[in-house]
Amino acid sequence: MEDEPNNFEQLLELQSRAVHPELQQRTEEGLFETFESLRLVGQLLDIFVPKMVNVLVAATGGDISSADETADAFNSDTKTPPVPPRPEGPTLPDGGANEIR
Amino acid sequence: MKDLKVIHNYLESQATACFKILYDRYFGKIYAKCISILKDEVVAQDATQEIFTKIFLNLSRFKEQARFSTWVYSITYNYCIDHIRRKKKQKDLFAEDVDQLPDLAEEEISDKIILEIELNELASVLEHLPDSDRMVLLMKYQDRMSIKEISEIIEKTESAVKMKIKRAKAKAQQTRAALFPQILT
Repeated sequence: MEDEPNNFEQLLELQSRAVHPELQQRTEEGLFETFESLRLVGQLLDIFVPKMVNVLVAATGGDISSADETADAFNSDTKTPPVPPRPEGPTLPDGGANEIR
Repeated sequence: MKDLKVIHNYLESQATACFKILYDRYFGKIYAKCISILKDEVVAQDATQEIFTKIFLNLSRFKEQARFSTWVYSITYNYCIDHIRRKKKQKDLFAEDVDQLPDLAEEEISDKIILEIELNELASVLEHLPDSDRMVLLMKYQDRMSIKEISEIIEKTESAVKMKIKRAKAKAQQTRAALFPQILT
């Protein structure tokens, strides 16, 4: 097909130029309101997801402080891996090892 | 500034000004298409807004294999097809005659005849055509989409699309003859 606009393309051009500028303005406002709402939802998720992680961790009997670290790592832009929990088990009371012996 | 450059700038900077350039460039055309397909100003306005939201949210997924306009219009057609399907409670909008066997006696209307229709006649003819015929003609002649691109949008085989276009052209010619009998005598 040649590069010159055909009758269908000319019709679209004609119809698009006939659109009232006020309508374009109104739709633009609606569109940017939607974008703002989406941005707000994103920000709310950023705030509440780490809190929900804490609640879930606490509910399953985990350590919230390490969950905080996990959530912080989840939110951080640096993408550093979360600090792993300590590998050793619970500590014994003072002199506990001797008492057991 | 070309579309691709604006898109790259937008993806790098997330600047609203870049999206505004695309919006100003495509608003009229998307709205005109929505009006032409959906035939309702309020519905077309809502549709245009939702289509731009989809474009905005999916801009990073745009693959530069197709023209940006083709990608934008395919989102527009998909939205309009879904809307009509929901409204008419019709699952397959393009089923009516695409699946029928071809009529061998059917004469092919040449592209030249279709492309020589005067603008005012063309607007009336398109208005009187069924939704599915109007859409395939717009995809082929207004957006210069390939048969493959059309087949992906309407979810039919390429041979079914060719048959659909052939029949849509025949219907357009019949409609033109009915609306403007003096021209064809």
